[in-house]
Amino acid sequence: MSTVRNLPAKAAPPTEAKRPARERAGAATWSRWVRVLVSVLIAWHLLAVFLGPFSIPPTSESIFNLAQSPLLSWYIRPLYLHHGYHFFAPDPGASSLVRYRVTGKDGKEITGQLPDLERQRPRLRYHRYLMLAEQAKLAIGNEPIEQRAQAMLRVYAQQLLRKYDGTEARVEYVIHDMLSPGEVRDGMKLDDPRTFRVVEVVNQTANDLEAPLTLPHRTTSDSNWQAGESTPSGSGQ
Amino acid sequence: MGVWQRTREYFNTLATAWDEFWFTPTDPATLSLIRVFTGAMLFYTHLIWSWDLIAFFGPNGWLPLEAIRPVSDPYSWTFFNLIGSHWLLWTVHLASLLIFFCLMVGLFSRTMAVLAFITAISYATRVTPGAFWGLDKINCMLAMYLMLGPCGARYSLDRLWQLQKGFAPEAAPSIAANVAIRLIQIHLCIIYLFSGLGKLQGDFWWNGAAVWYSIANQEYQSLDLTWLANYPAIMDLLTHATVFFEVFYCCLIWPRLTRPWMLLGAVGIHGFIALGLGMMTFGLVMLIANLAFISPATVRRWVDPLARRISLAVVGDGTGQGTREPARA
Repeated sequence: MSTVRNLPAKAAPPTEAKRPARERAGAATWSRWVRVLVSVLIAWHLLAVFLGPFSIPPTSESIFNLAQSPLLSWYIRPLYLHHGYHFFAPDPGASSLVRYRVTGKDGKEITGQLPDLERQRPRLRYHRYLMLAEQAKLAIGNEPIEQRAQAMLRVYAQQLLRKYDGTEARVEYVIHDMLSPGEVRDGMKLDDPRTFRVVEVVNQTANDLEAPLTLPHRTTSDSNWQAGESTPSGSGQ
Repeated sequence: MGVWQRTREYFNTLATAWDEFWFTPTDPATLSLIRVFTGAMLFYTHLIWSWDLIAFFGPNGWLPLEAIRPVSDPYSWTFFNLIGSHWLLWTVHLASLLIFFCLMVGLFSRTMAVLAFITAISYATRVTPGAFWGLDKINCMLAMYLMLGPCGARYSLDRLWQLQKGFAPEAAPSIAANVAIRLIQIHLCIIYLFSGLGKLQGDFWWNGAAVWYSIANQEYQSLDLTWLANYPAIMDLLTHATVFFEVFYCCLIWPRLTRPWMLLGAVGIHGFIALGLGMMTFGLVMLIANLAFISPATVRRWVDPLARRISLAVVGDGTGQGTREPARA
């Protein structure tokens, strides 16, 4: 057996060198049966830790179904292990913004966007709003991304109507395209107006505020929201 | 030597190696240091929710439950499902902050580690999908493993309390601390591996453009690095180095010869993410996880002098109740 890790040399007299590491450490040792039991638990846990990211599409149907099965889901999902860790993958892409215009009861208009570096400080708070915009297009199961984005924009519009006590809200989903190195060398700015594209628009009135959200029906089997995890440029990050 | 005998010998060696890897007691210094930083990160992460608590965690808000969650997912659970009123939401939030703070300072450390894990999972699950990101994943991962070992054995109020009471034996090497550290190490390897493999699915991480399209994303950018447009070779190099680091981390972090280089790479990559891409918290929490590969002896060499000063200031030289050992937090 190897020497005990990270213990001062003076702690182990030369005569002790032949004793098992656990005993030399002077710590309480675990019996063989406890070690066997813990080994089984460790193996199970590591299987779950590995299958979590391995089951994120694109993956084989077998692995996907295995990770989604009740056999593993009861362990993987409550422990928050169902993630792909696809940070900025497969490719870093354009980011998303949500722009809004709310008409107040006095007729005044309030405009803004999510995220907004000026209004949302510190940076971590800004990042939560960035995720709000990014994950509006995070499809669940087989749900089309456009349908999901429309549904989430309605949710955001309702929140804005409540927040500003408004009568009407217009919410736009905007893609902010990125420039190539050549375009930057040619003098274009990252916030050039031509890099912004409005891809979805939702109008909501205060009368609709209490209306139930018309979201597509979902069941457990198609509840794999993580399928879209890598879609936003940084949501995985 | 026959095949049977060789096979038996192989499995005996394998069992011994497994046994040593998982069940050799280790000084809880590394785990204790990770507890301090993880507690601080959890506290800060959740403190920031205070600005928008009702808007994100209330029944109506940016993320109403009916909109973000599958209607019949029996496996994900969050205690926010049970909270309707605003006053209760604030009470739970303040209690959660107290838990994270206690974990950071090491007061009732083991209990707080369990509560911190349940709490961190509850917050993360409530905003998933909707507003979660990598920080939540790593926070939950670290909180999960802290509760498995004696995370308050050093650098904690628990330890100072023991010294104050005159009960001051040196923190014993612990198998549970070793299991916790090993699990963090392996989990981190899996995270990097799948992060690297995920990148290999895309063109930009192959053709060298990925780093450019990360720094040219204005919504992420916190440092203007677009001057790199004039140096494509640097961007290519950084892109390839990132993929190499992530894919091979799980192999090269273990040998003593390559470990320092991988840790240096982690500092470089996560430092870049923290300073250049506006994700200071994520960059830091990944570095906290990497601390699992710092040996307890090194941790003690760095941290013990400060801990000793604190314990001397609080309980004096020794406990004053019989022990002759200098106070060590």
